[in-house]
Amino acid sequence: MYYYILDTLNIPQKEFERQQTELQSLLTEFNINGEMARITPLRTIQDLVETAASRGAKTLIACGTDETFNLMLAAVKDRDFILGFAPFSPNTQLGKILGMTDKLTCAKAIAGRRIEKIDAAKINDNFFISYLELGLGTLTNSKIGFFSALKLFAGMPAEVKMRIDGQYTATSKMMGALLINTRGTEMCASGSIGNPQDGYLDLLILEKLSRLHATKFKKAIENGCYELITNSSSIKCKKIEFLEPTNYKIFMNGKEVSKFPVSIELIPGKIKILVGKDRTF
Amino acid sequence: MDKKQAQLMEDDNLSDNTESVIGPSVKIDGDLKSRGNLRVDGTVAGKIKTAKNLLVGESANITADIEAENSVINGNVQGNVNVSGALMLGKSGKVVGDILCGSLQVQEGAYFAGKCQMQAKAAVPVLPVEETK
Repeated sequence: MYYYILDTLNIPQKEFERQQTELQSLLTEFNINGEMARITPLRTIQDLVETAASRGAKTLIACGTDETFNLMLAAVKDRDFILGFAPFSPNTQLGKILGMTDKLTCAKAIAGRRIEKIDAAKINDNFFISYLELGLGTLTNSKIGFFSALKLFAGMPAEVKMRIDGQYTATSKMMGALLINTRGTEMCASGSIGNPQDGYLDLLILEKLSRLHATKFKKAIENGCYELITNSSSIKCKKIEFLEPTNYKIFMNGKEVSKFPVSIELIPGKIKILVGKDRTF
Repeated sequence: MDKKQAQLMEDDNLSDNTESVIGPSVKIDGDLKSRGNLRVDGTVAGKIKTAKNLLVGESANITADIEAENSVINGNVQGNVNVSGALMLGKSGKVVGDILCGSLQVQEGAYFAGKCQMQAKAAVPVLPVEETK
């Protein structure tokens, strides 16, 4: 049975109703049934996941934003569900990654029931399948103006110390970084970086750039394709411990998720997920 | 990088599919192991081991023993270099330590202090030899 978890909290009410109606009619068209439940202040996502488990649901679909999926992922913990995602807002990262950018592709993916096993990264007690942002990494997927790009690297880089795979300690003076399990940017989707089935996290480190390079690589910074930028670093790892500076913030989709010191680990093939034809991996 | 080095990198796929890059500002202390191609432009102290190709950039400063399939060294290396295939010391390359390799090419300007031993291996790739006048 499919169990749809609808997020009413992150989407305006009018827009939510429209999105829900559209999804329902498409699911009816594709002969997909299931039960829908809304998140409310009294019924949290954890409660809904418990309810789904007690009713014998095998597939959970998070309907909402990237955050809805991440919250559902955290609530699922070690239960054996097949997960899915229905984007209720445009330009969701997960939608691009999973190849479900709108309701139609989402309904097709659910109907097609193509399931892939992907890696899950764990930070504190939460899992994620996308990426974490540090420093200027928070500018990923935002538009940077020409003059903003010139000022971008005016600040001082942070000296970050980390322990990788328990084997070596790396120190870097960086302006920003991305820790990627997978990413939805089409511009740099090729190559080995951001493959959620390779059993590795990719750490991309952005060093201080000159004004000339900042403007030259503006697009790469916006798209999070740091591997295309001069002097940037790219390190594959399974476990990373960010040690210093203490209280340095880590973000996901622009929202703070943790601070240094913190340990992040990859659990290969943990998640079974419904994917569309246009997925990035 | 001159044409010859670029050719060698292309032949050995050192320029493409580089999986890990250690940038100039990165300092590593410990054992750096990689499954794929590796490029080092920063500082490494400890050990470097890769199952594929290693490119040591001009700004690299390595105090470590190296193990790789093929390698191009353009930076400073203090330690033993063990390469099963082709090793090239670029004109800005400096190696202080012993070399064990399948085949060796040293460009004019490179510095090498140590012992060099060639591995007896049937399938050692032959590097293009520059014609001398």
